[in-house]
Amino acid sequence: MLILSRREGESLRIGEDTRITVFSVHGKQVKLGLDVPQDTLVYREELYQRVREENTLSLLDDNNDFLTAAKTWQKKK
Amino acid sequence: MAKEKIITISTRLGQRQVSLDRALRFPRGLIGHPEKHDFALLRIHRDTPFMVLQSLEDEKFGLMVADPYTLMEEYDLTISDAEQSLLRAHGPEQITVLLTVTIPPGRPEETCLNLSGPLVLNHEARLGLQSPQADLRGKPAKFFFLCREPADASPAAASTAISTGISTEIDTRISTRISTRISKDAA
Repeated sequence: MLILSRREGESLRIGEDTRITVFSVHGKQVKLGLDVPQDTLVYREELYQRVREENTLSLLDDNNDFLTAAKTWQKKK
Repeated sequence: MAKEKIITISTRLGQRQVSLDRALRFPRGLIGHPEKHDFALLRIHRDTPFMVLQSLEDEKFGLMVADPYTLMEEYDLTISDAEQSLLRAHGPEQITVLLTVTIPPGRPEETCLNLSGPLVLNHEARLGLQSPQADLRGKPAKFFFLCREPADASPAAASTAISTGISTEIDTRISTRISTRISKDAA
């Protein structure tokens, strides 16, 4: 991993069209500004990991639990 | 109009016939699965709100999903400009939302909807993407629904939705109930 130090107001440029600016540092929190191409999707890492994990847990596997659950739902209604 | 192209694919639910006109294209794939681009939405059974988002590229890859509006009274989400642009969406009327469903192995009573990672579809353009939601406004990230009676999802409404499978009828019905907020703010 590349590690660089920056101060408030300073920026990093990644390639031609991505710029990350350190807006402010308050205690443990760093506020960043991101100039990215319009079609770039930006996510907070923990949210990305959470959704990724949920996707894995929602994959249908070889057992039939999902059909059982579907039937359970039917009975409840 | 050209004849509908139907293909037969192997899926998590066995062999199914799928109309390519109704296939869904996810240009960026799913979170954690950027290589999966083409999907079909399959109904499991006419009386359940569950559907399978089945990969057309990998028969073993099928996600359990559900229309949140058949199970919850409300579910709001925010779509960024970049997402809106990728979906080529101009307004909420083109948008359909699905949530992934987790059924813990051996504990179907703990089945829940995952509220953090909605699948957002432009049902007109047949485009989709997964849109992680940073702001659930203090609400829990999961919605458990087997431990209680289904919200006000009348069985009739649910079965109508499911029985139409991937037809435009389900899209229309969902979009009339949607409360998507298309955000003008960047993500």
